Amino acid sequence: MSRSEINRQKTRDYQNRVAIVLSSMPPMTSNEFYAQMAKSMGVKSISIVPNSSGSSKAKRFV
Amino acid sequence: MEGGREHDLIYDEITGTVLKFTKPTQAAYIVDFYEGKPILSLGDPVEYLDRLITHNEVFGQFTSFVGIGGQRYHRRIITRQPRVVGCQASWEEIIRLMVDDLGFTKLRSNYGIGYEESYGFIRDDVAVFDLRPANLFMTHSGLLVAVDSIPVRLNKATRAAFST
Repeated sequence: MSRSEINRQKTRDYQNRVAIVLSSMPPMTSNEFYAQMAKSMGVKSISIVPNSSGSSKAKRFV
Repeated sequence: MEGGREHDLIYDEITGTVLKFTKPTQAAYIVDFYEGKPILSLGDPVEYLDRLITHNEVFGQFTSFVGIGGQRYHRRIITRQPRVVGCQASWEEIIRLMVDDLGFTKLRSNYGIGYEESYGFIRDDVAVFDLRPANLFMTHSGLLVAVDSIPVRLNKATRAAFST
């Protein structure tokens, strides 16, 4: 088997594992999602605040 | 909400998926070549979609195209990804995934493509940039999932631009 074929096989194996893991992801609330995102962005928190028109929501990074 | 430099994100709790919007009038960044050297360049919509396809070919088919949105002269490209519950990957885990699991070679330089500290990797006819902890999540099962990258397809000439 050539190196390229081995790499393709490795990729298929990895992608199959990803598909299985993603299909069994536990539920996540919005708060949990934004908390995880804040952590990955290196900010303390992301909070919901009204935008200037007051008609919808924006996020504030703290 | 604001995300990074390229996208804004909304989490849809009902479907458990993340909607990603490119910044208004932009189509994120892609890798281009100028006088034989790789450079980071603003993408056009087709180049951006090609970037997503290439990312899917490497990391799995879980980013899907939703449509075009935004305002008339400030269009955005919208895609959807499943939620990924986990924590940021470490730099070592990123190298392990790319080199041991996927057969890539780490590039000595990221050529200024992606965030300053990010890693670039090359394999056969593809190079992948902007790999950094914020773009990969370590799931509870111990598998790394890449939610974003800046990949580029290579031919013989463009591959020669990279040294390992």
